[in-house]
Amino acid sequence: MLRYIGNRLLTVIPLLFALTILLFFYIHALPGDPIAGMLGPNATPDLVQQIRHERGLDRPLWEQYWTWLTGLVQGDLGSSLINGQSITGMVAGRIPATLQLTAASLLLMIVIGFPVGYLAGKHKGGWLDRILTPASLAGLSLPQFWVGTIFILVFSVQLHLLPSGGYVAFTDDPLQSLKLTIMPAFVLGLTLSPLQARLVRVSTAQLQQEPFMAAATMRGLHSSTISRRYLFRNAVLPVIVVIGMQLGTLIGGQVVVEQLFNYPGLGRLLVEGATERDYSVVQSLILLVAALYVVINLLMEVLHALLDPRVRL
Amino acid sequence: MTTSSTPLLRVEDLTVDFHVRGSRVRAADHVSLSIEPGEIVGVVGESASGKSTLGLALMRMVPPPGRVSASRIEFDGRDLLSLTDAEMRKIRGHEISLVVQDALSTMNPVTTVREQIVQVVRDHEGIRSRRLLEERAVQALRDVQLPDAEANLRRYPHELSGGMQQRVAIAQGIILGPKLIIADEPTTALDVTVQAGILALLKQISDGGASIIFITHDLSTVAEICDRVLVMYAGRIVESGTVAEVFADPQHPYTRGLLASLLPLEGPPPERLDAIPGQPPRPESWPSGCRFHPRCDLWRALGEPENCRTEDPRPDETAPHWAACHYAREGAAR
Amino acid sequence: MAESMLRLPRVRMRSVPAGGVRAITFRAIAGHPRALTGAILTLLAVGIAVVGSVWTPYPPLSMNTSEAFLSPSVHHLMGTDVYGRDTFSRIMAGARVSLSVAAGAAFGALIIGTVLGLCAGFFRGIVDILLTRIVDLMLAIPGLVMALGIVVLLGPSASSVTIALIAVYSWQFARIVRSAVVSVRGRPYVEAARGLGVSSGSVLFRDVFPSVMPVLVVQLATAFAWGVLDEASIGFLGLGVQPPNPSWGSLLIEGRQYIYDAPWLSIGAGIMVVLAVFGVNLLGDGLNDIVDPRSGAAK
Repeated sequence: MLRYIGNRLLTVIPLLFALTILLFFYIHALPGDPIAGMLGPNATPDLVQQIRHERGLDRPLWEQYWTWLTGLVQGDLGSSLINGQSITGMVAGRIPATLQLTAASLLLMIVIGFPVGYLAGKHKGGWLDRILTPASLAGLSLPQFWVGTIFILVFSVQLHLLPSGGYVAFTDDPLQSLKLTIMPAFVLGLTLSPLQARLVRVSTAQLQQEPFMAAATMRGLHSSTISRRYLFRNAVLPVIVVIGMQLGTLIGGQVVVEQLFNYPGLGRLLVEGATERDYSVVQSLILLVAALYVVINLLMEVLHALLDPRVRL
Repeated sequence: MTTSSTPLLRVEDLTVDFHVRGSRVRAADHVSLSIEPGEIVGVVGESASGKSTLGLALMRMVPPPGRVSASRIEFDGRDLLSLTDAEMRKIRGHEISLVVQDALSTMNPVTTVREQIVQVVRDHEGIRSRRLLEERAVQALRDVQLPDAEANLRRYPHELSGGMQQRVAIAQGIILGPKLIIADEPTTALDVTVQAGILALLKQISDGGASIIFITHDLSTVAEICDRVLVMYAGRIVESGTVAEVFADPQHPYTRGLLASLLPLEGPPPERLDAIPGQPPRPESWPSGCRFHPRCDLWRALGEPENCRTEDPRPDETAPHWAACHYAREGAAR
Repeated sequence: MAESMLRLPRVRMRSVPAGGVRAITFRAIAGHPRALTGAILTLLAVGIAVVGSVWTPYPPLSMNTSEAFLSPSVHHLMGTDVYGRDTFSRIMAGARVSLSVAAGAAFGALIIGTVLGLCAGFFRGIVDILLTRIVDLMLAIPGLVMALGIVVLLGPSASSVTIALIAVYSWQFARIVRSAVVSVRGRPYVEAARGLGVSSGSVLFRDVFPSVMPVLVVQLATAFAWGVLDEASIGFLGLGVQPPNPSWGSLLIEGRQYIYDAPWLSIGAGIMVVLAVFGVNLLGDGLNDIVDPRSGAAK
């Protein structure tokens, strides 16, 4: 088991390393001076030079990279170009909110998507199966901000049921925190569930065709046993891998949803940084997001290995 | 091999059709047979002979779009065709068991061997006690001569070798003491040495009172353990008799062809391997009259008589050793 | 591999009709309900865009503050916005920009991805390894995030969104083309052809393209749909086309400001996006069935 994890880590680390190189040079390789752009056309060359020096931008490139990299390894994500604040500090403050939303969204996505897909695949050709394909295509075509807007209009403006934005820590006020999270999480979960349902459906339908399913009938097992221990037990395995695959879409969607609902997560931080042309923030956040994506995928693989005895290596 | 007046299984006119896109494809054509308690009957044929479909049909497991019809399928005095699904479920795995070629594919990949064996007992006998179930499982593995029962019970199916997997599958099949076991090519995928072990095991199970329908394309395995043999071709039984009779004095040209293609144990190796020319016909294009006639060297030797091409041989199936051939006697004489 | 008796018996059925790009005819699309609906919706969206570039019910930029915040009516199909501009006209005008961005992104990614995939598959060796690693790398960064990163650098505008999206979508195309080349390359007859002196280039050309075209066509449709969605999303975040230049993205961010007074802009632009994306998705799904009939069985 440990060997398996170690093996996977070995592939992951070079990837992340390559990412840092890519991201670092992405900012510095392209034309244009970020500081000048940030300060605007009225800035004097002296001012630009001063700020550049303050931020360490006039050091040689390899030195800048090295400083950044060593900082990264120690957990220091650099400082904002705009105000010099520690990015790590900014990120740390927003992690609880982000995690809350991501977890809630994933949960809703599975709760909505899995049963639908499972039942559709189990009763292939049934009514659920037949409406699933066009319904899921429709669902996939819905942009998150639009769904979110409709939700806000209905639940906040018309019905006054839920607040339309903001955040409260769960530890401070659980009820209000849930109220503020439920809409954005629902929007994300809802828009991601069609893909989940489709993928689950395909794998469940394939499972139905497996010989061991017919063999269970051949041995005279109860149909409830076959459903539970044979079909279901095997159907959950691909879902774990699928979640890893959907993570990228989830992250992208979360960026949008956080903006719409004024939700102070990492997604909003990224947008703020982008809007203010704070390349330092953008660079570190992209790296962070990519690293999280890779790590979570790895975790999913490990989880899958734990649950599927055939994958023991 | 007892001669009791009531056979364990009596099948008359069993036909299996598949209705695909408006046309009908027949896999088994009016097959009749009977099995006595405690005997091992071999069913031999090439692919597309209908032998596997026969096994599935007896278990009422022919998948749609297949349809089974028969004048009679009587097992242990009961009419299988009239049973409800619930009643049939109780029979499967309990009184009639099916063992197939690829044992691994019949097992749930994510549960242990113990789980799989025990589940059969749970679902049929309703036993819940873990201790009792464990005892049964250990005993079942001992019955199939799988050593180191405790360790193997903990393993997952893919962790076992092919021979062990087949033994576990057989264990699942016999743990409830079935009266009839249908074994479809149980040893084909295994090494010859492992094969011998499985065959011996099957013989031992039959000695304990169960009947076995042993479906295979390999005549040599039939010779090893079967009491009687049925030869199938193109959905029909073309020869039936005891193993001694059929092997010593085959009456159907097809049977003779099959026997000729076996390597003899003694004597010098033959100069050529005699194979039956051509391929078995697909159900959509069965020849008219006697279905074997295009590949029959007897037919050619006799000058291609017309009746082989127009008339289906209808032998007396009550005789102890019969063959579906118009010229069975002439062929035997040659 | 041992054949299990428990698999469905093989009964010969009528041969599956051939697919391929040639199967995409008007009749084929008309006969397929999903493809047909998708095609109609897509054409509708494109039609609005085309018409909108030369004519709209009202000039999209003409302001008339006395008519601000009107509800939808016969005169103004989707009401008016804060400056009295007709919403529907603005949406029509925006269609052209949004669809052009999406089309540019899709085709651009197709071209670049195909080139990259061909190089990787054809030249093998270090080029291939390098490219596969880069593809894995790129796919590790969630698409929208990467697009934002690029747009930030280039400054918000329609062209930077297009470039950003090309950068994000190319890898998927590259992967498809590369695997097609690799699978054809491995076939015995290629070796045989090379042995006979036929240049491997022409062999690949003749055999890779027919097999990969169907997949590429479907992927193109998918990328186009993503393009519309992503342009709208990026615009919504304020990093795409900037108001008052109309595009569905910029209209959405405008609409958000006045959502409590006049939600028609948001709703209307959103509906257009949904329709266009849904239409292209349906069309892509239908095309998938048409070019590869066997995939229908797996559905």
